[in-house]
Amino acid sequence: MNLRSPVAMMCACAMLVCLAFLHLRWGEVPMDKFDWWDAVWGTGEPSSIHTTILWEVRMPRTFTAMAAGVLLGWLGMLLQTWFRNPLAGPGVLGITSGGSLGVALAVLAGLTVPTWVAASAGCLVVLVLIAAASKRFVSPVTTLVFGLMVSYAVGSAVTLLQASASVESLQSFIFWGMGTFGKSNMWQAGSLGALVLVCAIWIVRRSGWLDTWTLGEDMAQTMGVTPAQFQGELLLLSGVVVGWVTSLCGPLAFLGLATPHVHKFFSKARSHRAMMGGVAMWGAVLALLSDGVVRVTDAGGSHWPLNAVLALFGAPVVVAVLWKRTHDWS
Amino acid sequence: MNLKASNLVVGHSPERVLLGPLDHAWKAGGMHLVLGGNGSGKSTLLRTLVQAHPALSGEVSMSDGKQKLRPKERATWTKAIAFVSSRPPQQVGLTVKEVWALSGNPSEVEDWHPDLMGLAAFRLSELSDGQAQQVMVARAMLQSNRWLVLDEPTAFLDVQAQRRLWSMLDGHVARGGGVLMATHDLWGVERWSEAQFEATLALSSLTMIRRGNLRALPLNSSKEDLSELLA
Repeated sequence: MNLRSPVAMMCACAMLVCLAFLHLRWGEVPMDKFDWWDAVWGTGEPSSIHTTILWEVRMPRTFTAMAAGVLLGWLGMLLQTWFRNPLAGPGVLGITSGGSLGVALAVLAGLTVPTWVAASAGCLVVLVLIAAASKRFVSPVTTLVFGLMVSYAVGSAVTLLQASASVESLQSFIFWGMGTFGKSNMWQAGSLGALVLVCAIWIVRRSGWLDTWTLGEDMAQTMGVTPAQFQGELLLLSGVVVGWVTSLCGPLAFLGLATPHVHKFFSKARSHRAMMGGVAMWGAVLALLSDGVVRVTDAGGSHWPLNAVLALFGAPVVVAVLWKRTHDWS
Repeated sequence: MNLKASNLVVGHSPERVLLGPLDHAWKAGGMHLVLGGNGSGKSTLLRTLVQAHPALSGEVSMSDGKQKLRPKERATWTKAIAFVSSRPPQQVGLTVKEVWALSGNPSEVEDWHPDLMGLAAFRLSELSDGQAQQVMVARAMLQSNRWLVLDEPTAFLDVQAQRRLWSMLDGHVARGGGVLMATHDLWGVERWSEAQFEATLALSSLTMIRRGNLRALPLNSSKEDLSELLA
């Protein structure tokens, strides 16, 4: 058990490097290794097709996938701590559907705000609802059911918007809903990277409060945590992160919920500072793996949507969690 | 520092007042017990005192004549008063050592209860309720060397675990700390009022909740008197 976590960590690290390399190296447009090398270092012809493909297609896609994986993994960890619920996650609690509604309002109903603002606002509204409701519900399962009801209600609102939308906007919305890492440019990938940094700083700064929170809200309060401030910060952070990721990549399912459990399966440590590295690593690995499947099927012509692949990975993880831990949720 | 309730009204909503308005001060140091039957509002009173539950009105403070400490000064306040609830937290993945480290230096526990150090590497969720409760008492002692507020800490414990827990509290009181405990365990009361204990360890005050108010009781109340009052 003591050896398991460093070995798993090293495997994850190696997988991450290999996957990132494959994603950058391999693609529908073949490149021989010299062209690729030149494109990486910019030593070939400037603005050759290879440079363009590498820097404007593969790099942003790879970095977006990694950053989104890291962010959603951390968010899953934070939400699971916040609601003291191992099955919490941005998708399950209806937070991403709140983002979808925001995007639907922006894209389908022609609201003149940037999609990421609309998505963040939608996420924040649902988060506030869930946070208020979870105070009332004693059982974590009730909170989950509440989140499910919220996503149904929000989903029906989105359907109503779809019914009266134009064909083109409907089409772009449906494609967005399937999820993809391939729609963002280098700047957007960079902005996700910046969010990763912000999140990392917050988690490190608040790791004491996060750990204390696992003992229960009442205990945390008597141990010096200010619940209003703690939850306010969490609310803002998760709203912005899920909103931004959702507006760029679509409402991604399972990545946030499953990643912390994949990490916990391999590692014993449960303090947030000890978990954040592993969760980030697995988040990036899972995102790259799923996007790898998407890209392979794209090349083969069958075009599997990212969300379908994520569900294929994620659902068994959740079932395994339920199966294994009927008593001990930690 | 004395722990003081001034005009304190305890309850869940203005329509459901449990206790108060209370004016009461618990003197620094020693063992203080609050008695009351089920549903009398013992737990809510304690939770209000440690700020885990909002007071309906009035205030809680600590003072030693010169200095007054209010819950708003959170960092200083939480160093002077720590809480142990009746049931240890469930499903906590942190190790015992990590839990202690949240409140102080884990190696100090060695002096108070050497046996507990053997549990340091276990997760809190892997322990029995009795073990976990002792861990939580040790944690509270790391947090505060003044007041420990305990809500029926022995309710779920077997005899052995109860004895261990009492001995930790003995130690805390002997080092000059104060313990405020809610209980309906008359055996526990009797134990603390028994004459064979050293004077410092004996019961310092006994209060009872009756008809929405707090009432001081004579320390030498017999068990029969108490059980009559509790009925």
